Amino acid sequence: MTPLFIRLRTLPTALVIGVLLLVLVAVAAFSATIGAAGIPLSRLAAALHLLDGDPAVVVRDQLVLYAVRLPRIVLAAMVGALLAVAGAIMQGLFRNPLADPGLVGVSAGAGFAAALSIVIGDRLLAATLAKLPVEILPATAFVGALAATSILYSLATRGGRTSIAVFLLGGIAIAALANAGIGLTVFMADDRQLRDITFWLLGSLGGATWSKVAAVAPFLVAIAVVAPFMARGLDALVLGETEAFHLGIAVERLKRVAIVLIAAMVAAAVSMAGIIVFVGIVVPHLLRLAIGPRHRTLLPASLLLGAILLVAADTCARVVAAPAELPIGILTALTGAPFFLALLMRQRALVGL
Amino acid sequence: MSALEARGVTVEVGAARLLDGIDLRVDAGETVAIVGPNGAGKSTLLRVLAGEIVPRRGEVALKGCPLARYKAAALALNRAVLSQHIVVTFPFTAAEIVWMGAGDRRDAAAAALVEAALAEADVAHLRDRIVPTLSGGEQQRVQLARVLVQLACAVQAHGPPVLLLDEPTASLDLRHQIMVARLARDRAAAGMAVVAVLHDLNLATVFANRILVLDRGRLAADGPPAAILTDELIGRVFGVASAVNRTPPPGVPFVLPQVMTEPDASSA
Repeated sequence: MTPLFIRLRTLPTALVIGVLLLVLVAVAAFSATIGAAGIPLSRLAAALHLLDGDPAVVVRDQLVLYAVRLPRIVLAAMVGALLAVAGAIMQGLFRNPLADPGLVGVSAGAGFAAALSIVIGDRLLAATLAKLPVEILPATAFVGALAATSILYSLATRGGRTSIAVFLLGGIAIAALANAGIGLTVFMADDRQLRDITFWLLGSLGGATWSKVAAVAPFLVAIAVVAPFMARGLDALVLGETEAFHLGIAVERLKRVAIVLIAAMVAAAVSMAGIIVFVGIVVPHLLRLAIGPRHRTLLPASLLLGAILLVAADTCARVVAAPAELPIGILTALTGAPFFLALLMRQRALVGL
Repeated sequence: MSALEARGVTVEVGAARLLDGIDLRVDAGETVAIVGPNGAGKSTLLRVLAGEIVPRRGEVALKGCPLARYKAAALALNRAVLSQHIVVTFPFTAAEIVWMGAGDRRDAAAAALVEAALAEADVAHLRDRIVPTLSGGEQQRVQLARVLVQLACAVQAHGPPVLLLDEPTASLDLRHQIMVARLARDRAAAGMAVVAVLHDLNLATVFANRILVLDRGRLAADGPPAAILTDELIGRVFGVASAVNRTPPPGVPFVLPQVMTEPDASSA
């Protein structure tokens, strides 16, 4: 309750968003300069048509930038944004700062459905020698994420009250079940399918292309359109579902929309980048401490900070083990898990554990 | 047209009948206390009146229109509810919680309503405090202030609303208990209908101009405190032998329960 704390909380939303946007651009620009073929900042401006430069160098830099680096940065930003907003919405829905789609089996559900579709789809298509269409993965991942979220919600909610203990324990069980399912598909898979599945298990942005960016973009647009209308309802939900109803919130509709959105966002992120945990828990929590829990600011700020964090993490993943790449899922788990433990210790009185 | 009218409300959970054919009319300007022993159905009745529970049989009309015909947003502008034990899990400040009573409004008039409510519920000095760090009684008063803002917004939208309170004084000290009772009477004087579940009979007599006694899901008595609270009723419904006394004029009844009645006396 320092004065600084209250001052930060009362910052206008526009200022918070503006600052985060600037940081995102700076981190993205920095990330664009890093890699096997280095592009110093001085040449980055030329490659982006902002300045004139040596034509031969510019052409080479542009090739690296537009074919490899930019799609990867944009995809990382989008995936991070989706995961962070999905976490923020899920925490609001369950009134629980420990909720994260990656922890409670939603990501694993999406990953399992995707892994299953790789193995089964591949077998079915083997006779025709056709290649498994890329578009099928987001669709099956969506079904898996939706199933996991719905099961979790109906498990944890009885008579309008959501039990945090049942929610966390149920989430662990769902995650275990989905992970067992993934193990089973690994067992059934041949070498080539195994390589594809491993991608889900570790999480990576290595295969980023502009077509993947285009596939994820609609999800981000959808959330940007819908989220502002959910802010007041999610705020009111902190008092409990019945109190939110007393305040005039159509709670059942809000819950349905939130569950479908969470599932869609996680499915989009998981189908493009695999299972990346802890972004959804770290980002909204940091922001609640800094700028307060009101969703009108929290949701857009989570979107931007999630993007910043994942672009930064992916840059690290590209650098620390160069020329090899560290799977980003491992990196976020390595840094996110200690953070989660610290959070749990600080808040265990609050969540009644 | 009554502010609130229940007709033949029956609520069953499994084989248990929690409410059995309750008929009830509350008019604008009334303060009604619902009292009764544990498990009598007091909170269930309040939740039916609030629209949280749809009764198995019967219906509730708010300002002449069945509750089922209201959308949540319209309902919020015609009745407000203060529940017990609201647990806030995120670090909202008291002022942010109180603002929730204003819905989508962010205008200067709403800000004035928020300020007035913060002062009236005696939480103005807590406005920047994080709600989960406040004491139980302080949190309850913050929630009260939020409900006061909702009431004021409802008045501006559709005229005097209905106010429903579930044990509003449970975690409050003596001074704030009386503050809540006075607030409720003020609101009734301003044309609202106020219904509160209370378990303290003495507070009920101060609070309400009409007491409704529930016993095992049925109405055992309904009327002004002075007429309702008798030695016989308290012995029969609560199973406690007591002599109802009177304060000096105006002669408000008060009860000092002393001895449990024998089982055969309570069924007599």
